[in-house]
Amino acid sequence: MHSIWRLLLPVVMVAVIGFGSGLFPSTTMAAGGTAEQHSAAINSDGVEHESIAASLPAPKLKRSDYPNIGTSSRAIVWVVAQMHLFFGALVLAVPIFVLVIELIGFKTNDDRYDDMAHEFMKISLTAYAITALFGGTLALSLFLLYPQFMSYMMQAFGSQVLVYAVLFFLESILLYIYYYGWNALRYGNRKWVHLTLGLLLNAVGTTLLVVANSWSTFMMAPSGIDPATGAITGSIWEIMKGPLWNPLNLHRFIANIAFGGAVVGAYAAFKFLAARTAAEKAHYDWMGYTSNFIAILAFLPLPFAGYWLMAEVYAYSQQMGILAMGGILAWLFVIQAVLICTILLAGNYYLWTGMARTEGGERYRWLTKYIAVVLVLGFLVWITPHNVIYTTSEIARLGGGNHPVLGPLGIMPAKNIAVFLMLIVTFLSFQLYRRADKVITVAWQDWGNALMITIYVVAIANVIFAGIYYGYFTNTVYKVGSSVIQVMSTVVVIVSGVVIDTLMFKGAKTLPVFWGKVTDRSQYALFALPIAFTWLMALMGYIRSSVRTHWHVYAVMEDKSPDNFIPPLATVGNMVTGITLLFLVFVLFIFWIANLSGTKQVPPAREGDSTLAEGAQ
Amino acid sequence: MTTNDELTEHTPVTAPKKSNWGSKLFFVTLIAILIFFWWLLIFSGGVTGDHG
Repeated sequence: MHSIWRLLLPVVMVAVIGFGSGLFPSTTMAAGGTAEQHSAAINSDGVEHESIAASLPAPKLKRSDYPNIGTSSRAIVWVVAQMHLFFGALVLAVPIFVLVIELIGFKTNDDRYDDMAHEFMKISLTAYAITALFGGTLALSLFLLYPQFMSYMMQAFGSQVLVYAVLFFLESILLYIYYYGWNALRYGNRKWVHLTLGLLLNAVGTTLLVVANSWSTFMMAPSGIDPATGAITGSIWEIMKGPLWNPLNLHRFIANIAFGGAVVGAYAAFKFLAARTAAEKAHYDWMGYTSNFIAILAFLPLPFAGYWLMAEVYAYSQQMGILAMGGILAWLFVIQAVLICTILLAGNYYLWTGMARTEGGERYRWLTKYIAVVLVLGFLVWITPHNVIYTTSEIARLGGGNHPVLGPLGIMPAKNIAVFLMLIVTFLSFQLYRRADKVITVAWQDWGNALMITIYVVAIANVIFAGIYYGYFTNTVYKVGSSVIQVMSTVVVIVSGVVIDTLMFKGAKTLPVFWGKVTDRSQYALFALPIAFTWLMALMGYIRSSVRTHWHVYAVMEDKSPDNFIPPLATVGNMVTGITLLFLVFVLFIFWIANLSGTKQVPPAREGDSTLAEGAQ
Repeated sequence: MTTNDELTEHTPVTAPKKSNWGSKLFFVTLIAILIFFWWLLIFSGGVTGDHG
């Protein structure tokens, strides 16, 4: 234990001195770079120059460069980093949709929206402190356990980390003003000031996100360096604007909103189940519905952002891409399929049960069983693995390494068809839900419906045809290209569905919606969503990080720590599940705290009170 | 004799001008933020694509 502090002290001192003096380019040496690097940084006069220090090669590490604390350093950083990411995602995402809800409430003059937005922020505020605690722990863990790696990162990013620190201060200030100023800035121009603060809060939060993303993407696909030595040759912009930066920015931005929506949905379900009055039930039912709407709406475009990210990963390094989707990590994509299908099934189920809130929902109930069939079939195709480890006798019975019927379902074209059809029918559930409380009155409603049905039929045919023809009957180049047709078909359904419905709803008669009139069972679907989302984030985050294999910074700075290998899948499963459970425990704590703040103890009866009461009788 | 009603009828009444600086502040900030993110994420700033 004593040795930990001996190691920690110089690291913290280096960090403090580096922050204070702005001399991050030279911290490689201060933190104990190799002798060759040190001498290279000193010119003939023995004077260190920042410019020379800045072009130092990436350190070549030895096992002894890593402190041994008696347990796996990777496991510690894994848990802490993932927890920080979960809470960071929640804290950054919630103010985004809160601002939109607040704006809707202001424009429609409906206080229900405003109250709901304020209540969402209460969850975000409690989570904020935990985010900061995990962030601080992560920074300390990294400096302690991977000092050389961190000094190289500091050399690369330099004073950008100070910008991050300033942004963090701004985020804290704006968050507190935004939350605590809610009722002080509620009407008229003051409300606009409050909305402007919300805008600034989201701008700062999103900047924090993209700055932190640049560290991750630099580790995966370094830019602004000399590829041969790892020496920093570019400006901070060249280092930040790597090939994976914007794909990851988009993917995390959307995923965070879906995740945040799911977590606050669970809060609403928790409050709904605990509600005593009809008014409370109605409020939390509506809150749960809104949360589910946000989560699923953000979730629908997520696969497209994921495709972009993976396409850029392949473009950067085929080896990296194949390891993720064709090597050992591909097995984890089967688990990903189970989790995504859980999200889709839960989201759809919640919408179907929600149609009971209005009498108009009966008109569309017959369609739900067909949507369920597509979802279940898609689920089964998606989880079908390509290669399974068979015994010799099993291979003989099968007549080869792959099942003759199920084998073709194990490859991407079949899975793409399944995914896109599931997304299309999920949008159909949404559309039916939106139509459930309306009686359309426009004269051209038959033509409008016919057009919508035609778009669905053509898009579904397109997805199936492109998947089968390009996936199984052409070469690999066209296989990848077919997904573009499928993406476009799905997008056309979503966009045209929204446009046609918006036009058709003009002058529509609205049926009464009975909020609170849903089954308790439906609320468990809202619990399923954040559990699946959390598990999914932990799993996919691991894959994204693991594709670097034995590199701290891919192909530039080698990882020589005892953990420089891809762990067995069982270990990954246990770690990811353990972290998910830990996060859920913290979420329950947040819900409890949020509930506690609204609880008031009944004052104890004073001695005189009972006498007075008796006297009154 | 002029009644109060007649006075009200003939006196030009100017409604107090509704101040809407709040919405202007909001939209100017929104535009500034959009420009900022365009500069941060999309504008190349002379940085060319680097695939290592």
